[in-house]
Amino acid sequence: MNVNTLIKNNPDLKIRNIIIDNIEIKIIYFESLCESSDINDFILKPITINKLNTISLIKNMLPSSNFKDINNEKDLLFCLYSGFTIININNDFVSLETKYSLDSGISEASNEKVIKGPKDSFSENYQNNIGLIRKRIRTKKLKLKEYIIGNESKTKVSLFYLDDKVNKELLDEINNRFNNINLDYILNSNSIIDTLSNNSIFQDYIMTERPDYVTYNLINGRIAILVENTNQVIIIPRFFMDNFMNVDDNYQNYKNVNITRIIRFIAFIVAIITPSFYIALTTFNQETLPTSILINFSMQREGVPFPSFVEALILSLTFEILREADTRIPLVVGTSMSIVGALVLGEAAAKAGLISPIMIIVIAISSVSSLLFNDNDLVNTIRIYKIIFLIFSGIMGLYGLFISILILIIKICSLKSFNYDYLNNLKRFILRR
Amino acid sequence: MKKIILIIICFLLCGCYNYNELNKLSIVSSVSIDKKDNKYLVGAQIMNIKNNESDEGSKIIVYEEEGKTINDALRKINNKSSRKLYAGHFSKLVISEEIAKENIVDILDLFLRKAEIKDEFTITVVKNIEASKLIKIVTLPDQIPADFVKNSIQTSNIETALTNSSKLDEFMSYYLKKGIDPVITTIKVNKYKKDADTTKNTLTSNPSTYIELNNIGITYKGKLEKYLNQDETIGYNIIRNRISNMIIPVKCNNKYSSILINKSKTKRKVMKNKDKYIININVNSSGILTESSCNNIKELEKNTKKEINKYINKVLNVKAKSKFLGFERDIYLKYPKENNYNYEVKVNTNFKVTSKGELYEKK
Repeated sequence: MNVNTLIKNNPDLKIRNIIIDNIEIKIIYFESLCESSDINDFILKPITINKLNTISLIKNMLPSSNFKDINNEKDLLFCLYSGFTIININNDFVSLETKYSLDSGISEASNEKVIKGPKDSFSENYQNNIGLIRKRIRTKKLKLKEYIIGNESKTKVSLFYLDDKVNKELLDEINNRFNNINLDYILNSNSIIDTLSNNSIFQDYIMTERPDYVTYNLINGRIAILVENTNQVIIIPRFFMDNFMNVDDNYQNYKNVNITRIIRFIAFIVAIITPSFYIALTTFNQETLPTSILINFSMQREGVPFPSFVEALILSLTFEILREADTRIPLVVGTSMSIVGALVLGEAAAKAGLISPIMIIVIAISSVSSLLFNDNDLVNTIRIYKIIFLIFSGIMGLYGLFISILILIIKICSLKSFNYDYLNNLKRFILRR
Repeated sequence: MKKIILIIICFLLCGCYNYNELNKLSIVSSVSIDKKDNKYLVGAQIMNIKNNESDEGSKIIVYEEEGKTINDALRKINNKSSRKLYAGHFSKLVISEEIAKENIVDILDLFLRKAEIKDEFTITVVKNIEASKLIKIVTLPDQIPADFVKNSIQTSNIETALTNSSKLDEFMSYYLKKGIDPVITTIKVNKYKKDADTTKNTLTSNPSTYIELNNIGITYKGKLEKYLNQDETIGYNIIRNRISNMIIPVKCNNKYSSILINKSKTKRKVMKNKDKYIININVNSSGILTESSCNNIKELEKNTKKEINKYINKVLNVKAKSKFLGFERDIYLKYPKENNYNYEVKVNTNFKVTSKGELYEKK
């Protein structure tokens, strides 16, 4: 193994030579990955003061908890890139961990807010994440299987489960699939889940940044997948009713939570159906509306140049653009943009006669209802179905609306999440003590 | 792939059938039919003519046309209106007395055939003026006269027993059934003046012209035969079991007390006695005292029974060819094979005061 060749393309690789009693000791490390004070205090100081010049002395005398023998070049590179310091005497190599913590620490959960309940969330630090789960479930039944996936990136992926609760068949299957993954780079949890899930519009896995939610699901017999360098933990399988659950539910009065869940379910239906229902009623099935409302609607549509269907599509699109802009824009500009968008655009367009005021209300109701869910993927699912529903009822009225409702129901019923029915666990909708 | 193409073709073949934008429709709320020189004079009242809520002026517009048939006239109206006439919210048909006496069913034929029209609209006969004038009158609080009539029929059906609404489906089913004839709602216009069709009519607290519901008319073979008076109308409603609320003044100690009947159930039973039928009418009703000058409950109950019997007897004594009370139907349902319809009516009334009120108990 020739260490000197490494230095060519890696300016941050440091090699320090110490000569003690004519024996050359090389200390090799990445400046960017290692804590230099650790190297000073626990490697250089003991070696120079105690004059350690053989591998066995170093192994015995250096105060380090994580030692690794290195037998080939592959090991050497892996250790170097993982933040280890390599000590080389003659042709013997040994490595010690001097990793520099490159993460943001444990911070508050930013995407999944709760009113009550703990505030901590997963970070990019793999060890911390494991610790956050371990400290909540202190039992030997909590098992952890670690894999190293990615031919080049060598990312650690670990599987959490409770030994007595988990479905062994599911575990074996996941185990099999992990062993067969052939990817070069694992960047985050998404690259793992793409190989596992069925990639339907409705997600069959949960992604969360809250350790309390992960432990709650582990206790219910599910499997959690942790990926190095990601703050999103995957939980499988996921069922339809999980769309209406929230971490917060566990910290509140269970009777009141049931009502909240019913409200969420109604919001889900409202978000998908409202625009298409309005289109179906006003352009095809006018006889179903009460007379006074019909007269009002027809007054408001006076002078609008587009057909209602196009009007609804344009408004939905505008809203989606606003929402996307709102999430991407830096926080400093953030709120003002959405206010400008909502107020000025909506008000002005209605006054200019481009769109009818009632259409703004309809789209707003549907969009606000979809924002009830903090899972962004679910919001996107709702958006897709909203547009499918719109097209169907724009062509065929109420008849089309009911066809599309049937399509949605059939889709949900026929979905599988890791060999479980997606509609499994319906009874979990009602919380009991 | 074949499946997807098939589905898309299915959509495109039936695509947008019956598609209507709201602002391309004229919503017809009521139609009036008069006769003039052997031609029909048809008026269509259209509701959505305003651009916004704050517009002043009338909320309705009426187009009139003559035609050899009703549909002919309606087609001509389409030329006058820039938008398509839409009858999905059609709620009231007004026909003049003249036509009603000639034939009602011939006119209803068109409305039964049109798929767009709900068969729940009210058929009304207007008594003293032309039907087209009635649908032009501007009223309050429902500025659309069709709504006005619909709502007042509903209210009077619930609160009093002074009228009866005749919906198309009920009218036709009574007409087609053996042994019963339908009745028809009538409307009266009071103090008709020339400016009744302008908003001037609604600007004062004492509108000069107003629409009023009147007693019902009875029909024979699809033609209007005669009108009932108020007492007979109440009697008809009692016999046909259509009372939900009714107030009757009852004499007691030479003064009048009011009784609100809030529960009333009528059962008609047919029995055969040799070659005659006996129809037993059992009226079970109860009510509360709403206005009292008398503390003798027993006498009150007795007198109320008498009142109810008086109403029933009045309607039984109406001389008409029409079988509007439907006794022949009751006989037919029980003895379908018989052809002899001689019958005798026996009335049995029960009435109870359920609540007397505290004032009375203190006396």
